[in-house]
Amino acid sequence: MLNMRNQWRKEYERTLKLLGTPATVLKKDGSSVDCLVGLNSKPGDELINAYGVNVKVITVLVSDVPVLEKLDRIALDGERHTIDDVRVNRINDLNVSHVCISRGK
Amino acid sequence: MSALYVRNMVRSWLNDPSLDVPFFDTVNLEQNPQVDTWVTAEFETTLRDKLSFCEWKEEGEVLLVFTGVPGVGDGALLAAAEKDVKTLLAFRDPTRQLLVTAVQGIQEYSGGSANVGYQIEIILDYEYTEN
Repeated sequence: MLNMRNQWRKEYERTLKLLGTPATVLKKDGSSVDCLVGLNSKPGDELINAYGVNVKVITVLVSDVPVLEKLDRIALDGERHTIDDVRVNRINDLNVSHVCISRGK
Repeated sequence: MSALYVRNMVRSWLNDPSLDVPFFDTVNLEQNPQVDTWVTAEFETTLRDKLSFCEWKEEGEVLLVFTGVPGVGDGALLAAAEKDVKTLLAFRDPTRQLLVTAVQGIQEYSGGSANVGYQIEIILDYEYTEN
């Protein structure tokens, strides 16, 4: 499977770019990137218990924003969400996306 | 639950153009400020006492919550908040019913991290005479 990872990565990115939601990533240094992101606004009970009912899980492609950190922000649907935690989503050893958890606007 | 008089007077002060940080009332109102730095106010009553047949004294707190940009440290927000609170303390109620009696120290409101943004809290103690 490892030799297929770049193909899976392209398919993953293609899916997100087809189905994603327009957003603007606002970095702490003042720079910004317009891109399509994955938005899960109906997260599981564990996340709701940990972060509250307004928690959102936002997926940002590494190809769009190579580095994303806690306390960067994502503007989405007219609201600005501060990132509380970032996890890396991988296909094999390739970093393909940042999975960002926000407590809500 | 501070008296409406207290709330209206403090809100009018916070909307004064001489203050730098814009005020957004969030008490039972949905707000989505598009500015990086803003302030809101909450109101708590700590004492209500009868002074005479038709005069009451109310003591309480105005909780000023300042919100700033996350991830850039505390300096800019604290400077803006301290400057505006200093200006706010110069305001007077023309009827002298409301008096700000003290300013408590700055508290971390978002725990030194950020939720909607980096937030601090400054509490004003007040006395209000209702007649």
